[in-house]
Amino acid sequence: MVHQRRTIPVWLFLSVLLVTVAAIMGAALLVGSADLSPGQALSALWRAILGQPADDTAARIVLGIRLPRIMLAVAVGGGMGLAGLASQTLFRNPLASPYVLGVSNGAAVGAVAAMLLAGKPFGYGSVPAMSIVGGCSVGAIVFTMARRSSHFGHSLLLAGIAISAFCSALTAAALYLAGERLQTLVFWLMGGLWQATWRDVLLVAPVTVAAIVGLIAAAPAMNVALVGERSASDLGVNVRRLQTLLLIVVSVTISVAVAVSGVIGFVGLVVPHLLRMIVGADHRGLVPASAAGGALLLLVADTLARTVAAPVEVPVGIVTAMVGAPLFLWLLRRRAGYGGWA
Amino acid sequence: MILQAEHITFAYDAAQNVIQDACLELQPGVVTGLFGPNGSGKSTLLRCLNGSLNPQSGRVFLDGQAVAAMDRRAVARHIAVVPQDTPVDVPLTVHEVVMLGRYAQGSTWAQETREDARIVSVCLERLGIADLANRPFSHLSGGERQRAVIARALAQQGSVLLLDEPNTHLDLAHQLEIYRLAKTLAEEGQSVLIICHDLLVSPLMVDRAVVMDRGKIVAIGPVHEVFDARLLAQVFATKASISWGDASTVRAQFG
Repeated sequence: MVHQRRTIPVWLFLSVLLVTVAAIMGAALLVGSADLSPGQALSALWRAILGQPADDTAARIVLGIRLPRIMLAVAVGGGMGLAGLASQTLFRNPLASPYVLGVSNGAAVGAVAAMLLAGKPFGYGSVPAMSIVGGCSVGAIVFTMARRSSHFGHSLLLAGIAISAFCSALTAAALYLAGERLQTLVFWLMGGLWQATWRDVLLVAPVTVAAIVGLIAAAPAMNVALVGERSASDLGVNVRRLQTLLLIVVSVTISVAVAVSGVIGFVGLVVPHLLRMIVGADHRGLVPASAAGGALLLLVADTLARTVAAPVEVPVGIVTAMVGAPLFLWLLRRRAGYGGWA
Repeated sequence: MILQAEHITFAYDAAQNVIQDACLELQPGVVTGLFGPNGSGKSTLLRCLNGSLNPQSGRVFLDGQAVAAMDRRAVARHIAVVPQDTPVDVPLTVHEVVMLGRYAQGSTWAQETREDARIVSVCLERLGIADLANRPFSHLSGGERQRAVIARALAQQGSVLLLDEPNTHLDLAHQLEIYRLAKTLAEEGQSVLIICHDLLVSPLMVDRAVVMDRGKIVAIGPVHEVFDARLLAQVFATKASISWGDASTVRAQFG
């Protein structure tokens, strides 16, 4: 599509974005809190690539701790970017984010409940499973309620806000009752990737890949959806089917993201919005850009989170907001128009 | 293509029928005006005609095929709608908005073809807004926006065109332009329905009139046979004496 705003072609921007993600992934492997020089890390990595036995400390740190964490940051960040874009298109509102639907709060309730009841805060299994149950249940409840109404989008928004508030209250109640586990829970709720394992990567990466494929396939219909439900239907979009797809993408990606990393804010809101300013609102470019942009933001934020105050970890949610917000404000100042979208 | 509505009855809730037993046929080459006071069910009938509302009873056929059984994409390939109002906050350029009209014709994965781009240019040209192609849709005036939406409907290249008060935001010159465009499209073989709000200009610009009152079709036929003093009094609560010269000249005196 012809685009006045677009200063560089989408394919070029996407390529630059992907190369940047790859470069930062490589760089992030070489830095960390462990007493390991970049040279040692590089040689451990090189030995692994050559298939030589790697059971020394350097290899365990680079391949067993840093690499899964980097992969997880990319997978979770990409999923959050896509979920943010899907919710903004679903609500036809650039201020929407997965949080508005209540899915993240639902997933958080599930996770907090699992931690309190299991008595084993970070054991694998119960926390991710309960997050997914919590998040997807909220998605399903909100969807079922909205589906009965004639104004799907508005009902979805209102039901989401109400359930979100209800879930926040449940989380607050759980914190109130947490006793000595309060600090663990609060730290977990702030979000972070320090628990990253290969199992987490195997849980999240397929979901993110499926979300990319689903949204790329739906991109032309998502473009049409920008003119409103009625007109989209008149122009040939099966609006209910599109809304169902978008809601499933948001619910599942956010649930698995919360399951492995807690509640990390801001990525889903800021990434699609920021990229819309650069590549335009055409979803065929915006879908892959949001995935890559989300991956980039979370990867940079998480790398900073684990290095700036090493050996202490800064919760990554603090970094995403501190890096993302000024950038966002700077871009916002330079742009005007487009009905408030960009 | 012939669009045929047979005994349509529609209600948003059980208490009251918005459309009561409406029968209507739109034929290629004919511009039909749909008239009626506010709240008489004109827009609802239009939404039933393209299958975006499902009537409680009765059916709509497109060349004999039931519209209710077609998917939205198939309907949009044949029937284009210009809605009464359209959201302003659309983050697209005029060219992009008109290109959305090509959605139903394209395959899911395809980029727009050169043919799509050519069709969009022709439609922009026809509505006189080619110079606005790269403007953000949200920056347009009401009239420009209306013309962009009509261009989008033309880009669908259907054979039935349904316009819901297309003249709301247009000045008289542009209103006449839209009627002339409708006439040209009809001559090209389209079946055209225009919901008309005003009774001064539009009766002179359409071939056929359908008049609705409280959900029922109360008159249907050539304009000069339909619009008479009795109809204006009964349906529009307006006292007037009307004398038609021929189908395009009329003398009316409002009392």
